[in-house]
Parts: sequence; C-alpha cells; structure tokens
Amino acid sequence: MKRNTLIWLILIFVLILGVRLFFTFSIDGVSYESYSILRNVDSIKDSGLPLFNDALSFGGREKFFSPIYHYMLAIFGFVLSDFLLVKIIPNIFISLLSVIVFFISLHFSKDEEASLLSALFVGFIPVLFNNTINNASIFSFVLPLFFLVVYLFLKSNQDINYLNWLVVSMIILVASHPMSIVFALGLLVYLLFVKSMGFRESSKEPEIVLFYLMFVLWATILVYKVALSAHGFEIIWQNLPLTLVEQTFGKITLAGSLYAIGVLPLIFGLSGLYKNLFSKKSKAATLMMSLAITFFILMFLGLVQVVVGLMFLGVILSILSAYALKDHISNLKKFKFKYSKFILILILIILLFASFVPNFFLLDTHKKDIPSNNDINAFLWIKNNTPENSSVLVLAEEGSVMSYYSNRKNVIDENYLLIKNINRRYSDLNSVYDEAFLTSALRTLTFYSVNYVVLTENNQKKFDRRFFRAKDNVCLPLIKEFEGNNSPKIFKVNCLFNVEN
Amino acid sequence: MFNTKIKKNVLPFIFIAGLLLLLTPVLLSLFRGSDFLLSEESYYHIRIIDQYKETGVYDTDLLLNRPIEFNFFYFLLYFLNIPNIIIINMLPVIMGLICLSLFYYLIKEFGVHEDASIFSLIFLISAPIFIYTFTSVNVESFYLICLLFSFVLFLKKSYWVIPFSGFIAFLNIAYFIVFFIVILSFSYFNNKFNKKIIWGSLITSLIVLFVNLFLFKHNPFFGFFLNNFSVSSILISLGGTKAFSSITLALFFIGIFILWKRDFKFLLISLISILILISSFFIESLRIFVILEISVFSGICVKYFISKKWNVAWLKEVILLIIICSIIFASLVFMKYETNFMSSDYVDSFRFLKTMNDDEVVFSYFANGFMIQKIAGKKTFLDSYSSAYVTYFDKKNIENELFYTRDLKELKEILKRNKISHILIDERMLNGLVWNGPEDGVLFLLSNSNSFVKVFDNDAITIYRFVGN
Repeated sequence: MKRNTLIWLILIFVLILGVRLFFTFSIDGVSYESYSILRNVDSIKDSGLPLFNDALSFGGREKFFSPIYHYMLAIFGFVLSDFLLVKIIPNIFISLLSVIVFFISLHFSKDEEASLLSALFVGFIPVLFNNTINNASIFSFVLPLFFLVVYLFLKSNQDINYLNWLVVSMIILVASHPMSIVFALGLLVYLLFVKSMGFRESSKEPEIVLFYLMFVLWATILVYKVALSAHGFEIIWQNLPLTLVEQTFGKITLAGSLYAIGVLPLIFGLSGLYKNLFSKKSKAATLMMSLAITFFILMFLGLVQVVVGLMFLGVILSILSAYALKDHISNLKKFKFKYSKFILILILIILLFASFVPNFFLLDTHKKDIPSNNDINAFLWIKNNTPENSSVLVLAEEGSVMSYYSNRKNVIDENYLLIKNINRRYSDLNSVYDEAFLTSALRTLTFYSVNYVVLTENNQKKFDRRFFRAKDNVCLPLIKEFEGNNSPKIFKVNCLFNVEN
Repeated sequence: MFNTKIKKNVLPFIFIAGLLLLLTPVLLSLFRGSDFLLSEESYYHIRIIDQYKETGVYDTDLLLNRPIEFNFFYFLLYFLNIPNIIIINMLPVIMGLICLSLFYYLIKEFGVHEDASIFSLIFLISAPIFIYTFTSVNVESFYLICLLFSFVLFLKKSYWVIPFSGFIAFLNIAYFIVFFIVILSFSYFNNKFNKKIIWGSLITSLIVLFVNLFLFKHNPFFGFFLNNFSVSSILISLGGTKAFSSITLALFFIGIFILWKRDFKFLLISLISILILISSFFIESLRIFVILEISVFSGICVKYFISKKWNVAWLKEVILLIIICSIIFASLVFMKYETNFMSSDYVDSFRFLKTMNDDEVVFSYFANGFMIQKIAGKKTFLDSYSSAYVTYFDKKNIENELFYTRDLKELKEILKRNKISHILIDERMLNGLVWNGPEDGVLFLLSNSNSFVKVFDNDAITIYRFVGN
C-alpha cells in the first residue's frame, strides 16, 4: 500500500469517527437501549459477572446472552464514565469497520482509490449510522468483527499465516452473537457458487468452512440452549410481542432500502455484483455476493430484523462498489482531461454527502430517543423515596432506564427472551394506563405485583396520555408530580385486588 | 486405518461398552424401587400391560376410558407371562444387544467399509435415543428388532420374509412403509433381487393392512399419528428425549455428500435416507430407525475425515475433538437426565394423589400425566398421548386458559366442567416451563383465593385442591 493511501485511510477513519462523535455529543443523553447494556457493564465492574440473574428485570429473572461485548465495554468502563463509554467506545469500534472494508475491497479490486471510496461509503450508510450512533448497539462490535472474519477468510486462502487469526476471530464471533450462524449459511452458499461458477476449488476453503460449521453448530447450541429449548425455532423472533414482530421483522421495500443503504453503495454495489456475475468473476466478490444473497433471503423470509439485514447489506454493497468503481476510475484515466479522475471522486463525495444529509434531520429523532431530565429525576426520586424491593411500572422501553437510575424492579423491559405469555403481559401493561375503571386497573396492577406507577414525560408525549385514568385518592393516589408541562407523575398502589370479587 | 488385530479387540469392546451404557441407568433405577422408572413412556406401557394382565381388555384404556391400539408386544408379554421386573430392567437391554448385533450384521452386508462400520457402532451406542429406547419400556424397540430381522431375512433371500413383512404391517404402518422403501431401493441399487419375495411380501402386507382396517377394531393408521414438529423435540441438547445430537445430524448430511461425491448412484439411497429423516421429525416412532442411518452416514463421514489428507492438519484434530466432545456430552447429559428423571419428591406427591376420588381429574403439565396415572391410579387432564385423539386441540386450549387465567369465575367454571379437583405444580413448571414468576397466571388465583387449598407441598411439588365454594 502506498504511503499516500495510508494517510487517506487514516483521514477517512478520523473523518468518520469525528462526524460520529460530533453527532453523538450533540445529543444530551444516551438512548433507552443503552441502559440495559450499561446495567450489565456496571455489574461486571462491581462483581466481575454480567446480569445473568437479573433481580430487577421483569421483577427478577434469568437471562441468557453472550457477554463478550459487555466485558469489552467494561474494560474501558474503568477509565470512562458511563456516559462517555456509550458515546465513545462503540463509535470507535464501528469506525474501524471502514478500515476493514478498505482492506477487503483492496483484496479483490487491487485498486487503492476505489477501496478508499468503499471505506468512505461505509462510514456514511444511513441505516448503519443512525442505528449505531448513540445506543451502544452490539452491532457496533459485531459488524467489524464479522467483516474481519470475512477478510481473514479471504487472506488465509492465500497465506496460511492468517489461519490462526481467522480461527481466533471466528471463535470470538461465534461466542459474541448469533449473527455467526448467518455467516455459516453464507459460506455454504459461497461453496455452492464456487462449484457452479467453475472456480478452481481451493483445498483449504472446504476445511475451514467445515471447521466453522461444526464449531458454530456446537457452540450455538451450547450458548443458547436454554433459550432454544424454551422458544424452539421461534427464538429468531426473540419472543417479541406480536405487535412488535411486524415492526421489527416487516417487509423490505425498494424505496426503503434505497433510503437506508444510500444511493451510491446501492448503485455501485449492484453494478459490482453484475460485473462479478457476467463479466469478470472473482472468488472474493463471490463470497460477498453469497453473503448479500443470504442476508437478502433471510430478510425476505422475515428471519433477520430488517434494520440489521440492511446494515449488513449496506456494508457488503459498499465493498462490492470497489469492484465497479475500479472500472470507472480506470476508464476515466483514459480521458485526456488531466483532472477527470479527481472530478469523478469529487462528484462521488458530493453525492455521498448529499445522500447523508437526511441524517442531520434525524438528529432530532435521536434527541427524542433519550430519557428526558425530568424522567431521570422521577426515577431518582423513586430511588430515594420508595422501599428497596418495590416494583415500578413504566413503559417497556423505559424499564432498563428506570432500573438503572432507581435500582428498583421493573415489570417489563425490552429483553423479552424467556418470558412466558409475553403478548398478554405486554398488552396488559400497555393498556393499564388507559383503564377507566379502578377495579380493572387494580386487577392488573395486583396481578403483576406493581407498587408504583410512573407516567413519564415520554409516555405522555408518545401516547398523548395526560393522566392515569384510573387514579384514585385512596387506592391509586398521585404521590409526586414534577413541575412543568407533561412532567412525570408518580402513583402509589395502595390497594390489592380481591380475587373473590 | 484399524489393523486386523485392533479390529478384533475393538468389536467386543464396543459391545461391552454398549452393554455398560445400557445397564448403568437401569441398575441405578432398579435400586430405587418399583415406582422409579427411567422414562415417562415406561409408566404408560407398564400400566397398560398390567391392565391387560389383570382384565384381558386390550382395546380400551380403562382408567381414562379411551380407545387404544392393539399392540402385539403387550400380547407377547402377556402370553409369555414375563414378570414386570424383567420387562422393566432386563428386556430392554437384551433387545438393545440384539439390535446392535443385527445392525452390525446388516451394515456389513450392505457393504459399508469395516472401519466405517466400527465408527457407526460407536455412534449408535452413544446415541441418546438408542440409550433411551433400550433402557425404557416402549414398543418401538420391538418394532425395530422385527424390522431389522426382516431385513436380514430379505438379504438371505429367505421366503420367511413374506409372512414377516405382513407381521410388520400388522405392527405399525410407518415401519411397513420404511421396510418397503428400503428393500425396493436396495433391490434397485443391487440389481439382484427376487421378484417373488418382493411381490409376495407386498401382497401379504396389503392383505394384513386391509384385514386390520376392516375386520379388527383397531386402526393401523393409529400408530402413524403425526407429532407436532418442534426443533426442541428433535435435538437432544434442547431437551428432546427421542432426539438426535446436532453434530451427528451434521455428520449425517456430510456423510451423504461424501457418498454423492464418490458415486452418483448413491443418490437414490441418500434421498430416501433424507426423506425418512424428515418423516421422523413428524412420526416420532421412526426416530429409533433413523438413528441407525444417521450412525451409518456419520461413521462414513468420520472415516473420510480420518483417511483424508488435510492441508491444515490441526483443523482435522480440532474437528475430531468437537465430534468426540459432542458425542460424550450428549450421552452423559442424557444418562444424567435419565437417572434423575424421577425424584422421590415427585413419587411422594403422586402417591399422595391416591387419596382422591376415582372420578376426579388431576390437572398438571402433560408430561406428568403417565406418572400420575400409574403411581396414583388417577385420571389426568392431558398426557403425552392425548395428541392422538380428536379432543386434543380443545383440551390444549383449555389447558392454556387454565395456566394463564386470572378470572376466578372462569377458572371455577372450567374446573367444574372438566371435573378437575387437584392442580399439581412442579418446580419445572414454576421455573420457565409454564410460568416465570411465583404469581404468574393462575398461580395468582391459587394463592389468593379461598376456593383452593394447598394440600401437599414439598421441595419439588405443590398440590392444590379445588374446594369450589
């Protein structure tokens, strides 16, 4: 690699990280989603173990998840505050993805300029940018790891020295996230393509694929055994309440994909795919094509969350872009106009930023995705003014935040795995705020052992709920109201529902 | 790979290891008493055999008052007057050894390489479903031995296979179909078959099926009923008992792929094997047969891995290590599950239920059904065979309502309508099998209503009596 290219790569990394940090620090807090991770990180810092036995989630339950990402964050958590940890570390992880993408693109395009553009594309894929900016998403870690495995897989075919690193990264991927299964499926599709497209078969490839398949099969069952036996095949939908399954695993549309992935990665990625299929075949591009097909089919069948699928597809198409861009750049070199290449790159960068502009408008959406100061104050009030083993009802998305600040049990949060009869619980607890009759509300509150109900600012704004309808001065009195419009209100459950009535 | 001397020593060793694997859980259970059996199914079969011996009624379950399939296995045990202690502890192990011998004979006859045969035997004896089938009382072990024996007769071109095929058709229609699929594909593959035997067997079997269908009360299609498919029921690591290990399933497919690659003529056999495997996901009684084919293909696969020249030698060792670990873990986990299947806390609670009136019904998780029926001698709302009856889906809806209702009036109404007097809750139901918390679903009503009295409570079981005021 030329020295100039290295400088450009570092600049791209710094640019992507800089833009991300600018965005994340423009938002005052961290998203609702981050608090579940922060509670685990805090637990690791205190006891060395994540919350496999979470006494606060759903009133106390067991959880099954891979804790590698939480441990990674906990290491940095010893020197950074929780706020800085969520803002900085995941953004560094995900920014590293552009470096990995550069090397993958370079591996098969052999064109440094095209690969640099690929790396730049990846940094500004709207769906990736929006979903990893302020929420400590595990995909900030899994995406770079996934593509690191892809890169090492490609390299180990040429150089046996990469094999040890490949095996180590494969093991970390398998231990980190079930997305490793999708990689296994992608490898199987790849072997089929290699066979049917008439490539010269590498003798190492099937051995590595075989090892990976065996390992992924064994380890996945070992790690997710309890959840798998509880939910069976439906574990794919993570035991989400039915109303949420549609939203999370819904249909993909062309317009939606265009907006989510961005115009440039989509156009150049698809032309790279076309080139690989019909003009100049490459094994590395075939691997990317196999992964793209796997993700597309899984998304189409509703087996992978649309957002997650689009994030991976976006990265894959950005990598494939290098394959098409290489041709365009070399064609331009044939023109006699001296600056034609730079003009092309300039146009591409302008187009890239143009497709990224909507993200600026989404900044406002991100600001709504964080708990307000008033809500946080309400949770802190609960911590200081309620008995330690109290159960507090808030919305599912607020469950982890409430437990994080108040150290009290929630009745529902967003980690639905292994929870029995989740549809009923979700609808009961969502509708209790709108119950007109005290007895109906008390029946639900008694049944779920709720001691306090918090009508947060977020809940009031989101569902236009001004008051807890079933409020009663004796059984459900308002015990604390904060100042201001839509300010949070706290109610105490003083009566129990008598089942004999 | 193995030299002749090693082969000579390995074979007896495998048979002894198989015997020990089967005997260990059986002996452990024997010392615990007659109420401690190794599987849920054993309780059902022993109860029906006892009923048969005592009353001679073979087509109705007198306790639950529902029709049952006439089973030749029960008839044989009744006719030979074999005591229960032998049926429970000795017979399954003896049948297991017979099955191993027939299996080894057959794979040698089918032309499987000797090294692959040895690996296949190892896969078979360590397969949890093999241990389950030949340590518990069940009818599939008998069907399987009959099926293997008829294959032996067929290979020997004996005319005895004709009546034997009729006998298999009489026993179970799924096994009859498998028998014909296998012999037809083998004949097609080998080009050396006796048309008279095949036609004779087919006609005899069809006559038997016809006679069964129209002359006898029992319906041969009964044994063919489809199970609800779930991933956890087919994978041993997810808690299935008649289930396969995920690694051996993977080896099965790789083994098939290796055979295809070697010679395309194996395509038919491979496709049929896959078809039977998929059928077994829905027809549980076929799974013990399927484990035989899985063992054969896994054996072929491991033999290929060992004899193949690897570019990265240590990958081979790691893969073999994963295979060995998964085999050992699967069989050890299963043996532990089997020996801990029934604790004295469970038996005490079931014995307590003996005090109930005979017309009252116990409501619990369906998997406790057979044990309550056998030990307490009382009716249960659901059991593992309820899915074979037309009332199943209604009952399943009622079960769901009972588990999660919070309406006392509705609960009382359902209990009265179904004559349920006792609700038995075990620790597995409380810890995620049915509920997540101590006051989830109906538990809330049970602990807060005067209509229920806690009549029994120990570390594992709580029983509520519905007093119904």
